[in-house]
Amino acid sequence: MVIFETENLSFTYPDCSSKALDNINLKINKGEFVLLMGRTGCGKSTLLRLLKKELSPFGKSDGTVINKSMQIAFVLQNPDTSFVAENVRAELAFALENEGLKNSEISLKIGEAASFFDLSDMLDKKISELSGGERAVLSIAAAMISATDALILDEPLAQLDPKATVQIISLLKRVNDELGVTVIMASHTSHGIIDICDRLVIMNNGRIDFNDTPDVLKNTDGAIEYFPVYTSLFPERPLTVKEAVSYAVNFSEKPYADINKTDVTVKLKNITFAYSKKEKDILSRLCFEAREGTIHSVIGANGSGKTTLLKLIAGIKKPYSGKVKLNGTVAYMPQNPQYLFTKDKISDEIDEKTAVRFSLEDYLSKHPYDLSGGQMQKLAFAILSQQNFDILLLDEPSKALDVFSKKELEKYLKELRCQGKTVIIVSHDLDFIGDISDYVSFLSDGIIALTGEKRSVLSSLNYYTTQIRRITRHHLSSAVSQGDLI
Amino acid sequence: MDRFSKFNPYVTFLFFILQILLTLMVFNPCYLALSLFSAVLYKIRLDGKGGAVFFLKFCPVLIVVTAVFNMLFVHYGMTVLFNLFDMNYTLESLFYGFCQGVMFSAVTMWFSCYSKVVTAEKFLAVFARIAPNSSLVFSMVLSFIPRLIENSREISDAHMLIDNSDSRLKKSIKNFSALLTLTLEQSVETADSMKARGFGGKRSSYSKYPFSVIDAVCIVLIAILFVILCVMKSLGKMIFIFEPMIKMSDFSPFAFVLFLVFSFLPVIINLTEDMRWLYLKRKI
Repeated sequence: MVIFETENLSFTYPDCSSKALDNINLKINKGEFVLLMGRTGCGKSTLLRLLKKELSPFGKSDGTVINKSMQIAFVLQNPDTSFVAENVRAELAFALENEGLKNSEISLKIGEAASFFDLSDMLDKKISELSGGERAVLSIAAAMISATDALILDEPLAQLDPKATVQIISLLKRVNDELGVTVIMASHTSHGIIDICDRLVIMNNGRIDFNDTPDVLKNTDGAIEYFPVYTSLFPERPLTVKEAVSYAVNFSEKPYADINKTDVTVKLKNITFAYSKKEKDILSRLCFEAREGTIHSVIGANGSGKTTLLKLIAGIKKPYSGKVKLNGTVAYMPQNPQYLFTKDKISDEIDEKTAVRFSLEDYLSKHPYDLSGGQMQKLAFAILSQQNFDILLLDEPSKALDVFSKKELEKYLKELRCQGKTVIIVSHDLDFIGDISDYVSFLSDGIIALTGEKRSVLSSLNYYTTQIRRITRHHLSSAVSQGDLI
Repeated sequence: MDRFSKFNPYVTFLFFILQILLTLMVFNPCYLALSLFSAVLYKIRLDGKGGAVFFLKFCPVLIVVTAVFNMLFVHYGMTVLFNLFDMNYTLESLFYGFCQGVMFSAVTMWFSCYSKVVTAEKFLAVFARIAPNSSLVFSMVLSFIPRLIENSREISDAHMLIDNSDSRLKKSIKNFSALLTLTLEQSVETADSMKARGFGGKRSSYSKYPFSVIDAVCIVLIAILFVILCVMKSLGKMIFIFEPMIKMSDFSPFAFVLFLVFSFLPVIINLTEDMRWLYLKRKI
């Protein structure tokens, strides 16, 4: 039975020459789990928003949207900005209060939702005290608490670390399996989702390019880029790490290539840092080195102090004790690129030459906030590239990026490396790090627990490692990226 | 376990406000002592040893200091204690100061009990019912402020290393306008999330504290006691005279008992609870 259907749906934003959506025909059945993928800015969010009347964007639309859902829960990308209350209980109650329910009914529903979403222990906690994963769960629970039959999520995984990502995916599977709720989810990553979703819809430039089950699409040219790396590697097209392991035995690995040791440009010695005297140390007696002309990545769990480490290197924060020695000037890119934008027009932020270089020339007259997530990231790079720097510090640069933008970013970073610049990245995106890094450091408990050449570090970690390492670790000693395989 | 805290926030809020009002209104040493005594007992019930320590550390000093100060600066009264530099220092003004000290102590003790029983969250719950929309706005502002501070810090961090040619003032103006844009953008997202959850029509207001019959009984009892005490006070049944001589004018045992019941209400409620437990335990 159909729950959503669009017929020849087109949509144009005001003051835009091109259509954001172009002749979309999409049918979604009740109880389906649909994964929606596509390059940033291809119209995914627009399509999702048009499905929920209250959130429909302003603009000119043609065609029809048939909506047979009783109640749609819509989860926005950033949980933090979607909360209205101070504590968990009040946040859950919000949607129910809007329905005008009685106190006793609300209590009952909160109790029920709290047990389904595993929030019972934190009902009276402040939202600011929750971890990233818990906040994501809460934003889903708060949206779903009114009796819903459809759940729409706009890139819910973009802000999360690997652990929270796994948590949310398994929650969505439960919602779909146990409650029969239709799930439509836009995402840039398909790892972990591709094997549980019923249908994969791939959009490009406002059109739907592919719309079929993953089993069909995995053998289709042009769609395979959207699958996880372990699927595209093998002709058998496995959809999970588990399946891929058995096919991986045919691979062997390239020998270690020695990296020429260049000069040290960043040196941290015995750094201790805490936000205040009473709080515990975030970094304690930490030592760190990065070399000229290399890409050095720092990985570690949420809250392990990665961002703090970058800010200390940048000189934005001062260490409590210890020494930071830099050989060159620094540029720093914050986690949220929006923090860098101060002007009302992109043409005021960057000049035309830079715009062309970062393929932003079509957007020069727009406001930075009108760009999509991936384009904002590009603009942030463009702004920084106008500065003179020898050392570039990046906080989660691949967060909102699709596969293609990641490749572009990779190219750009490798160019910088060739120019002899030092790039230091902190990130959760282990596959990205596995592809581009020369050195990797593992930050845990305020110290660098392990540091060294990429392959030696990532191959000695069991959980915190790349997909390639996961499928090959039983028979290869140190292959961590596609480039290491033969 | 304190039973009184478990009552609906309306009850506890009303009790503390009226109790503090009464303590401030009735300037009579008998009643003030009673108020202080019951506040201390309740504080000990709430905080255990810590409550007694808080009282001993704080109140005696306050009482002595206000008493002596009053005696030094106010000179009415007939009973001269001593004479210094041609000034009479009287028992009446000393006693008046002493009563002021007791009053301050009692109010302080009640407030410290209040903050333990009526938490910020309960306070909000009280007003969520009275003014649901303003209290929603209020709680949104509360969660908005930390985000604003974080945004402002991150923006200035991000710009610390860029465009160093600008003057400090110019830089902060730029950062401020960036902060405004970002905050507005985030507010649009918040508004979207509210719309997506059906905000916009008539809404009810949820409180996790149920309102039961016993809460209603308590509110009525508190209100009646307060009204009767106010009437007694205006009839002059609780007046105490300090000038020219210390004199209890018209002592009404009825008013005294009512005040006693009112002040000891939390303690009495706890005692009945204790007794019930004892009784239940004995039955086992």
